[in-house]
Amino acid sequence: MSQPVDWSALWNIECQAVACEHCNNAYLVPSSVGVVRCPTCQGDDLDPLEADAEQMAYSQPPELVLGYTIEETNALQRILKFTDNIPLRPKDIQPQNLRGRLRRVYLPMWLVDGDIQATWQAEAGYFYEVVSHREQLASGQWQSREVKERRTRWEPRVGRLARHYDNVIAPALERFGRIRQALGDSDISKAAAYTPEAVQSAFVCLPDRSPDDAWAEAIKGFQSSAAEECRKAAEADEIREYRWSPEVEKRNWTQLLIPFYSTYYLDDEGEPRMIYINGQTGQVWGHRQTSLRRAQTAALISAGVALLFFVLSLLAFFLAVAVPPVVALGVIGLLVAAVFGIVGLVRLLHASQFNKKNQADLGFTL
Amino acid sequence: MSITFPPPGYIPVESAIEGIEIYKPAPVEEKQPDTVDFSCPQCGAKTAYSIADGGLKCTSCGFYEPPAKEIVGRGAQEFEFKVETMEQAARGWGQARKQIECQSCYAITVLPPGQMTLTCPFCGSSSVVQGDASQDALRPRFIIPFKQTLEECRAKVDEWLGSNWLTPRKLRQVAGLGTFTTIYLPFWTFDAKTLATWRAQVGYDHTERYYSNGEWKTRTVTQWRWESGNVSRLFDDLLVSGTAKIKEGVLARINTFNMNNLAPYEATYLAGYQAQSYDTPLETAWENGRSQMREDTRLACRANALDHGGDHIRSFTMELDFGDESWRHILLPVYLATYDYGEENYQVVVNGETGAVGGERPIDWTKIIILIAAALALTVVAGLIGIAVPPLLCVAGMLFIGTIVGAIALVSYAQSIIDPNRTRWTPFRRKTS
Repeated sequence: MSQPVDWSALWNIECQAVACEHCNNAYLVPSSVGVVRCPTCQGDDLDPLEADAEQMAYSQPPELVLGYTIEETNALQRILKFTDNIPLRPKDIQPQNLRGRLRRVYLPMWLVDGDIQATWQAEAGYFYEVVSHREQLASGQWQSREVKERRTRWEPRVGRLARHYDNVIAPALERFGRIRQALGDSDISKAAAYTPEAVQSAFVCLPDRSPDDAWAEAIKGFQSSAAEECRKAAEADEIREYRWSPEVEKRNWTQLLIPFYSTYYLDDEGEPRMIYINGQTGQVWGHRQTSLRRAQTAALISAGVALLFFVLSLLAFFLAVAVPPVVALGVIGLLVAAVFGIVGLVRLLHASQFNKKNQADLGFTL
Repeated sequence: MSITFPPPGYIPVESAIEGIEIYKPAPVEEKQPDTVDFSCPQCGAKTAYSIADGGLKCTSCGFYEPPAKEIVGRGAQEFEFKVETMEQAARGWGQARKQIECQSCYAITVLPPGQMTLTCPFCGSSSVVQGDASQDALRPRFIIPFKQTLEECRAKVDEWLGSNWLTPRKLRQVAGLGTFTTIYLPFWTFDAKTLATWRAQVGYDHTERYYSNGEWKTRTVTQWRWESGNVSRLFDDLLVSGTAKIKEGVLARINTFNMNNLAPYEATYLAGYQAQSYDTPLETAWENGRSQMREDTRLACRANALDHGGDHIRSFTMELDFGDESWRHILLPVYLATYDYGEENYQVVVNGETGAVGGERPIDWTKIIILIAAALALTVVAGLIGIAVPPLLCVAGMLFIGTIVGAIALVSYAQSIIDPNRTRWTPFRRKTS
């Protein structure tokens, strides 16, 4: 009968493994951090993970850890800059709130090394310039000037390859591709060997893809590296239609933890809206949600002011029967009423459109 | 993917990275032997290209060998205007030939081996010296073979010489047209797409009635509007001469070549004939070609501007972009002859494919002088009678004016016959711009 994984012994750190009922992510939470809420979805249904090693995609500690180069203060500044662009921000977007909810999260990824022997074929593209002409007729005179256009000449190439590739990136999480797209790549050359102290103050997301499962993605990375090398070898400017038949030997898998921050703010309905930061590059990604409630209030105030001016204008028109020059005040009042009415309407529409646009940008959660 | 290495038809190329081998398709090398032996494989006699048979034929035993490559027509490969193409373009003629340079008109003519013609086909001068064949000329890639035989050509020239009443009656007997030179002349063809944007004030005429000096009158008023538009034109195989030794006017009259008959260049086609290397380089020819395309597009723009009922154009400006430009260097067949009449030397050119004739012809000025003198005499007679019968003075005046105008037209026409480069005088030609 298999035993549950003893995470503390395995990772050499006092910790607890938990899984979020809401988003299904599994985390290793050091005792120093303490289990609060899920750093991904802010759900509070975090249950202890009672899985054995076979049920886990991978349970071993990482070989490498990339340290945080962006400190909390810096991260907070970046978040505030990110939220600056939100018109009529929800009241919950306050520095102290965002700072208090800031969590350190390590996400895993695979680095694969291997010796590749392959035959390949591709089309190598070489840039060349052609001379064209642009002419202008003005005052009966033609003025001609040469225009150089860059074109690409594609030539077939085949070859053999025997190369060693290091640190080809492969996903250890299903959502890894979307995370890379949103938060960019990190400089893995700065990774250091794993020590329990390195992860002591952070949630550590556990892999949900094993090396076998991630191999299909890894081989694409090898192909991409090989194609780029073949391009350089052929001294081509571009390469396309790269196809190969690889044989990979001496595969070596390394688990690397990359640093992120997560925080959130509450929207009008009290729902958490997540913001993430790459802990090494400082790239920020997250939800930008304007407060529709504030927009509605602002619109109502504008409408009220418009109404007030409208009534005053009517009064001015009545008065103008007796004192004709007052009609000018009535006209001005009407214009001011129209301006306030339009401003209110525009603010409401703008807030609605802003939310709609930013909602469409959402693609994933950490 | 299963590839046997090295794959057939592939050659290794240098790799910039250790551990990566690279192969590329072996370039197709056209076999260009230094000399081509045009002797009959059966009897050893000399062979030459037979126009009637369309291939290499032995005049001794009748052995026949057709050209190795098929007609490609307008599908013949075209080249982009890139520096690399110019540099990589194959050079030389593929067959050892000798070149003579005329010391009189400086025309360069490439001659078949063994032939030592010392008469320049362009000016008839005999003072020529031999030189080495030029190797820096871009090699022609395509050719239209001769289709008209020498006999057909001669008949057409005879007909042409006698086709104009102004030429001297004894011209055919005097002109020494016995020696025709069958020669391939260099030409460039250009393709391009032009995209023009024009802007102009377009004038729309309308008539209006107005009251003046107590009566209603009508007058034409032009209303001007700023308008603009786009015009695109496609040019396919615009032919530009590669030689300056034959007058443009003459070439224009024989420019009836059918580009559907273009064949890949083979030395076989030149066996027994002469061929001239170009003296108008690609850049100059392309400038000429662009000028023609430009003018054509300009006229199309002006037509476009008047398409919507406009009557006049002013303040016309346009911008023109050339795109998809390409070129070819080709050889076209021509019969060339020069002849002396009086103290003058004249040139006759016949299209070797279609038989179109162009050239210079002397004029019998006596006929023109007699004609003008007769008209003047008639005017004088009418004038004299007019002294007695005054209404005839008016007729005499009209006759005089008619004679002057007719004389100018006649002389202009005569000049265009003598020199085809001159444009014929057309008194009612519509201005195009």
